[in-house]
Amino acid sequence: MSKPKLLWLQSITCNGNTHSFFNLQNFDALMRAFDVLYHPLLETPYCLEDIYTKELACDVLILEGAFKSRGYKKFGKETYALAKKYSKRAKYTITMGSCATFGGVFKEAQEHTIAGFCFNKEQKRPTYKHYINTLISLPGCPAHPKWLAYVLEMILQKRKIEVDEFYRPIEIFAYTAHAGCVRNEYFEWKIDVKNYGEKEGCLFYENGCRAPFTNANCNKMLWNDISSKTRVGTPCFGCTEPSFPQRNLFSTKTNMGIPANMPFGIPARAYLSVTGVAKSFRIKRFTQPLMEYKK
Amino acid sequence: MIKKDIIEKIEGEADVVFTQKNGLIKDVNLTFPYMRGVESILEGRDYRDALVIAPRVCGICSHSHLIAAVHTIEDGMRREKIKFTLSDKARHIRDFAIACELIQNHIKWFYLTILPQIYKVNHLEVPNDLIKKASKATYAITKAMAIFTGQWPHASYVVPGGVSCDPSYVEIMQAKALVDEVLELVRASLFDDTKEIRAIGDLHRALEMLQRADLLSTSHGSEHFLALADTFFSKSGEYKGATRFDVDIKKVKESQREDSKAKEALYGNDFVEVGPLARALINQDAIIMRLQKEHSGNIWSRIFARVYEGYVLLLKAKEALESIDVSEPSCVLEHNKKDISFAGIGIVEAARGSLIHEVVVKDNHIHTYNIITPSQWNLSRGSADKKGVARASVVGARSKEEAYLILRSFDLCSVCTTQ
Repeated sequence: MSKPKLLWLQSITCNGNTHSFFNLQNFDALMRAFDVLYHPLLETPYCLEDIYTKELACDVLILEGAFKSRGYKKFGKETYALAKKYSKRAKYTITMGSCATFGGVFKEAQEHTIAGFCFNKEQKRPTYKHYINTLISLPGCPAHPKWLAYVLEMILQKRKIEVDEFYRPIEIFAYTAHAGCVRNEYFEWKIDVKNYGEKEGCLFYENGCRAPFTNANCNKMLWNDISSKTRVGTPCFGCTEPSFPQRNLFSTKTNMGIPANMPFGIPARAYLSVTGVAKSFRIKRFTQPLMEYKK
Repeated sequence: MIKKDIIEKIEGEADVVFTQKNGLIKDVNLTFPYMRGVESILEGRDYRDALVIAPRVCGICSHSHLIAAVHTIEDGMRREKIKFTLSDKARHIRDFAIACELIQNHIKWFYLTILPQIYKVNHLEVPNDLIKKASKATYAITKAMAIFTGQWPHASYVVPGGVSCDPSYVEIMQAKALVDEVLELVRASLFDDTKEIRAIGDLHRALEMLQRADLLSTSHGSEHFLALADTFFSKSGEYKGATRFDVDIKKVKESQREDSKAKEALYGNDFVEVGPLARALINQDAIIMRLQKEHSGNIWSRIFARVYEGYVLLLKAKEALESIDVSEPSCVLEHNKKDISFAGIGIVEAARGSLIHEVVVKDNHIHTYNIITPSQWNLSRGSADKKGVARASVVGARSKEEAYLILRSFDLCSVCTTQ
């Protein structure tokens, strides 16, 4: 049986998803299961000119980078039009990263002319309906290597990939980035971090952490198979969400002292009740360092 | 004869126009038709947002942009006497991550960019195990880095005054084991370091193939080198006519080209080479000095210097890990002023050479942001009489593939150039 033909096509990008995916432990083995027509790093049978000028068959199309409707040409051809052409042929179109999915960071430079392949932030693009039957969204800045590995593996196994309203696989994006965070106890008892660079405290209250209202399994799957932003004391910036990148990324937006964004699905009234109860207790363990080094 | 082409897989692409005469390349012009506008994205934002946005300039050297951004802020704070203290612990953690990202770059460049092109110039089939070699080393070294940075690429774990992570020796033990794993790979297929350091395996094969393709008899290099930053592994300096001079940041100039979106970077009025070879010469590294003398600025010294820097950085990475005292604070920022204004400049040595970020902040908001990337130095075009570094080095190349090999030896980074 012939291998599925895979085409990795870039638009306005930093190459971050290419390099993120290269961190996959079994990268080489997984790529060998496909007939890779073009890839931004690897030696491939076709060059970029072939991709732009020839009529190639393609089963799996991976898109990286944001799309400008007009004005991002190579070999005299618009990259957005080319992506649409291949997407119509492909059995699967995977938008890898937040730029390709929603517009991401590079949309910020030209808000009105740059967007994701099917979405413009959370809005559906007018042409979206032509591509949704084969679309898989993997937002993230970058997307986790195992998210793509999972999708490719499901394709190889001919299994159905269940998706949500943004066409994100539910087995990945049903979680919040908060699930599995090692600072969860501090979240439960409403104790914020005192300073950066400490093991104790939650980053949700002051420091801009968006993990409780960001869909992704970062703290379950772990980055580079070992860590995550919140595990190293960095707030989650919500990079998988259509709204990424927000402004004032290191500060929590509040209304009258209450976080403006609630954890997903939690009514403000429920949040405030729980907060009131939690804050009425002083838990000694949480006022002390997690571990102390005796001098 | 004029030939148009696109050089690809250089972290993006560039348009190329070759001028050929009697089968030899006479001139080359590389242009970039599109700029993504990261500087403009940063303007108007809170200055701390630079720690999230700036890494997104480049997927392969995001950490260098992060460090440049934090240096820029810390420099500004220092000038305004806003107090912060960088602990040794924070410094070692930053240095460790810098080393890891450079190692990752150097290994990928060797196995995915340079070695395949050397095979092509020799009309040989590219072996199919190069990807696996690059992948194994990349996996381990980026994992080691992520222990402190949370992830790679696009980490934002540095904050003014330190780092956000607070590792214990449990984490340090894991990182050390991963560095050892990469060191083992390097010793198996690139260097024998049992006595004096010597190229073996794939690196030696590269040398043999360069000899076979007669690429060692002609010079494809420059004579003027620059490294702007002082780092834990290299000194700053200008190296010209085998003499080292101190650098003066005021001599750095940037100018807009008419035919390309990429800006040129000059030092004084000169085009200079930046990168691992420049750093090694400025540091008067005995091995590279000898090589440079033997092969006077040709492609082999540039390749060897870069892979060798990867090896040196593995040893430095281990040193950094062993120097961490976990009981020190990770971040000390003592100011509690609400709105601050400052102007700062941050310089780092990224994988491909000196990288500069500059910022002006007014009441916490970025007024202007300017970035000069390593590839801008090496890719500056210049004029017919005074050619830029990469441009000058391909003159006389006998084929397009040979010219591309020489250009790739500078490891052009398209995404950085079109920030």
